[in-house]
Amino acid sequence: MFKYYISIVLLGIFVLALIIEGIIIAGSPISQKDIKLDNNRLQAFNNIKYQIENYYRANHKMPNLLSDLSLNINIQDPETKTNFDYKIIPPYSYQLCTTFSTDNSKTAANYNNYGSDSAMYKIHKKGHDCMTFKLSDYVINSARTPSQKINNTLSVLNVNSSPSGIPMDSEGFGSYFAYGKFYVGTTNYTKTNNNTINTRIIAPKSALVGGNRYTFSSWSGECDNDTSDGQNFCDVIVNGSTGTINATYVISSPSSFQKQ
Amino acid sequence: MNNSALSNQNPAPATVSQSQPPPLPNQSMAKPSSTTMWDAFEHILMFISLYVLATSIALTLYFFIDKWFPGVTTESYYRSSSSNDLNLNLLRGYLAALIVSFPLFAFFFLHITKRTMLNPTIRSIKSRKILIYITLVVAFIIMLYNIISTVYNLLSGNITFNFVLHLLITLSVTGIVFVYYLYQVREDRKINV
Repeated sequence: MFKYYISIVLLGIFVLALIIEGIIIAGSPISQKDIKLDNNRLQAFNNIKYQIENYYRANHKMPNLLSDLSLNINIQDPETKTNFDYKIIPPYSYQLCTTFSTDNSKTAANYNNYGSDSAMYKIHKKGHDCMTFKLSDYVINSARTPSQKINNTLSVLNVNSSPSGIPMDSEGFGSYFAYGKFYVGTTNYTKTNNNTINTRIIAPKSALVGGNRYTFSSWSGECDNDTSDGQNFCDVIVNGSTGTINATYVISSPSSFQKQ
Repeated sequence: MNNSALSNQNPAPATVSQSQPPPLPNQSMAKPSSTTMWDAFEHILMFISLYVLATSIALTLYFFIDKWFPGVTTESYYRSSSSNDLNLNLLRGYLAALIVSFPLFAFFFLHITKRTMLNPTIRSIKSRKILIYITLVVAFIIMLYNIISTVYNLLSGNITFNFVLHLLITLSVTGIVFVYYLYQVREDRKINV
């Protein structure tokens, strides 16, 4: 009988060793509680992020206080029961802060976040820490819908100053492929439109430079001529019938102009 | 059914030696007949906890092996947070099974062993025999399957250190159970003869 007791005790020691090692790997129950608390916090951050995006879409601005958001979301820390700290960082970012129970800098670095802006993939240290979120482009763009849609006649643009860039004979510029001459430059232009424009104009399609008509390949800055997303607007707020905007552009001669 | 056979057997020597006082055979006869169902029940519980314990020991050891000596293909796929969490949750499940099944197994095993020593007729309970043989057959099938898959992998050149360790764990866990109950079968047959 004695040898059976011995073998059961040995088995028990072995099983105990397995359990201890397993707990070391899987995390102790106490630290699991902290991790769950932090998970709740991150979950709450994600909900707030979602609500802020909704708010931005509806109001074209970020809320001044978290309590401006809808009432049924949790803006309190699960442990301290105080509101999360919230700070707007212009133009499109904001910060959420709270007191975290764990440090995830080691584990979060291992995860592949697939480009996600979710709070789950952001690193936080133990104690009071902040996470910075940026409104995603589609949220900003969807808020850019003009209050008054204007189908203006501004299909031709008189460029005020000559392009300062170097003309290039190329088949491609960056990811834009076209034939003809390219000019890259920064300029401002004056609209020659008699309509009263409240917020935005539809981005012009072509420009006159030196008597030649060029089509715009790309805009950046205050203009966006990408028609695929329906957001081909120039951000201008004009009080009268004319105004000036600044934008960087790439223009090229029409594609019917074959490369020489 | 065995008890009826036993009870038929036991009075026979008593009739041969009339001078001997009968209480001893009576006692040994009364004990198994009154506790047979309970013993069978204990055996079933012990074997269930044995299966759970052995499986969870093997799975926990597999987990450690995969962690310390990762295989070729596992590493790249186990990077995302969700599968990592899933693995840790599995490990917690194994640990829970270990924590619960070990005391149960230890209790039933020691209790049954003690009773078997005091009362060897327990060895001839039918449910005990059935359970032992089922265990032997299942352990044999597991070992057979593992050895065949090792030979198959050897032939196709897929042997990794990780794989060999998995095999060793399976063989040792099932092997211990198999050898122990093979030994028990031999002991049981001695009693019956």
